[in-house]
Amino acid sequence: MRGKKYNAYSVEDLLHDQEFVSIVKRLNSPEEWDQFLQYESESANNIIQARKILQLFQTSEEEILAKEKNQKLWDNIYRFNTEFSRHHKSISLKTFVRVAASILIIISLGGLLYLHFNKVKNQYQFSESRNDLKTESLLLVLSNGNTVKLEKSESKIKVLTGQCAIQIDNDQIIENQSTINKATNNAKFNEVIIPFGKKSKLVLGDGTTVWLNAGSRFAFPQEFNGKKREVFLDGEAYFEVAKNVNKPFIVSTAEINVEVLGTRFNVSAYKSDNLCETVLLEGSVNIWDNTRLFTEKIQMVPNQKATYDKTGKNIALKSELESGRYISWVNGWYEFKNEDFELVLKKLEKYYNINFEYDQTVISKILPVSGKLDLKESLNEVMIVLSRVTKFEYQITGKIVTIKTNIKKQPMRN
Amino acid sequence: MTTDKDIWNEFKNEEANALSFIYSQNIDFLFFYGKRFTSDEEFILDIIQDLFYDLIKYRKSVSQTDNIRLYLLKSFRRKLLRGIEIKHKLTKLDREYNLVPEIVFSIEEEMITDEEQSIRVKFIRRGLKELNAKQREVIYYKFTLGYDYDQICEIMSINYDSARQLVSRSINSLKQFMSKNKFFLLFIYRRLTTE
Repeated sequence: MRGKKYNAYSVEDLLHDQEFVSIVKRLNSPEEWDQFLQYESESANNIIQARKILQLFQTSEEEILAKEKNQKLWDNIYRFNTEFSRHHKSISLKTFVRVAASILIIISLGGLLYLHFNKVKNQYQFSESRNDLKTESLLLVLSNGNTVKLEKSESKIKVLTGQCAIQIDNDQIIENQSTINKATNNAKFNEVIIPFGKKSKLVLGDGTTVWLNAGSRFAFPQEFNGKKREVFLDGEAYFEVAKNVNKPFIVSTAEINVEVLGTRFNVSAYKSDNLCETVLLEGSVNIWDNTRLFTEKIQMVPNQKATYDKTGKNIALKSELESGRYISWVNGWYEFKNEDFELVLKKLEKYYNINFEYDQTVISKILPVSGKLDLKESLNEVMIVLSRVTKFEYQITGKIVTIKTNIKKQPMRN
Repeated sequence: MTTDKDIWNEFKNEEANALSFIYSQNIDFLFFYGKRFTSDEEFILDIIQDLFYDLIKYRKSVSQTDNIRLYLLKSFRRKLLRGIEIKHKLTKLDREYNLVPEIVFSIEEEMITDEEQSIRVKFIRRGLKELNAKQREVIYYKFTLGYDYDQICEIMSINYDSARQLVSRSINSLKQFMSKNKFFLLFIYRRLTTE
């Protein structure tokens, strides 16, 4: 216990003292205040006097600028920022569009072929059930039947071409002879299971790089032997597909297929979600609904987002100029703009392997939020940032985060 | 833990979310701070806009800071005063008796719901009239916002002795005022002590 500080303090001395001012601000209840007075009993009179003066100047209500004025001002500032940044950005030397006319022709030809072959439903059955996503370790289920547990929260898996082996984290090498599935006469697949809260980087036999996000399952062959390069995804992945004009690369999910020749795009197709989103950053892809017999292929161009709605069963295309935002998770950021708050929560559940409990009627009324969260931060840190922006309170108990929504009453303004 | 320093650095690195965060965290505060200098709301919003435009223009060269609000406040205050000075020069009102711009440091018009409150506000207003503009400003920082002398000196660009003197003189004036108005005191403090 510190010594009595305010022993010989006059009223003026007290008011000059920074600590005293903050104590008066801080101690709200009569009990706390009485306790303080009892402790500093020698200078109680002066303290009471000084407090009276201070109390004259305390404001109680939080003053808030009218929404329309606020919005208008912000619009101007945001616009200025965008314009200014645009004019002052250093020109990137990256080449943006690599797709030549000839490749386009090949895609269309390939498209016609697929319309023919796709009549047979070709759903991949993942060997592990969805519950295993709640476990702790990353799993690599090899086509030869062995399972490898990867301990790190972020692993790099590389298929060693022509060597019938897989390398983990530039370190461990695991043998994996290609095996043929006797029934279908196709190569058997390897699977990677990424539990909630982890992610992984994968390099396939053709040089294609795949980043897999939390809560995903991905199946790929040891070697791409057939006429096409086909992989299966339940979850979210960002692809940088190695160019191979002769072998189209196809990502197959439960609802949609995405076919490319060489390009960069992000697919979010969690079985548990209602929406599948595909964002194309570079190159060209075709996308179609694989649950129907007769389906039109939709071609995407860079900076477009295709949203597949499972309830309506239709694919909607939209221009998405900030496509980079959709792959910020690869670098450990979760970036969102004008996003439904509930969707943000759902994403966080996957990244951190937690469950949110909240009053849905209240949460759904929260205005869309924008922001960028550092996923390398602990859940606690992320919640602090979120609650600052949305002004709600929360409580973390183990793997459950409860959101308390007591809406602050705003002062009535004209 | 994301500190002000981190957020400010993010902002300097052209991170759009940092800008919107800084704006949303400080806009209300800045606006109502501005209202203590002038009642012209459009003018205040213009100055805030100017403040942020400059931040954006010179983001690469602005210095680092551990306290974003303090930084904004200092800059904002400077722009406000300059703007008010210019505004006064442009008006036709005579200002011969005052070469320094008149800083009107008044309390917000609150929605007054009860008699007690209205008496309290009137009391404070009269008390504050005893103080000069600079004293009123210092009191706002020291008593209402709870800033320390370092911060106050930073914002007002004055030295420690000047700041301390301003506070001392204000306290004296207030004490005198309160002893002259004991009746009001009794009335108000009966309420305050029973809370």
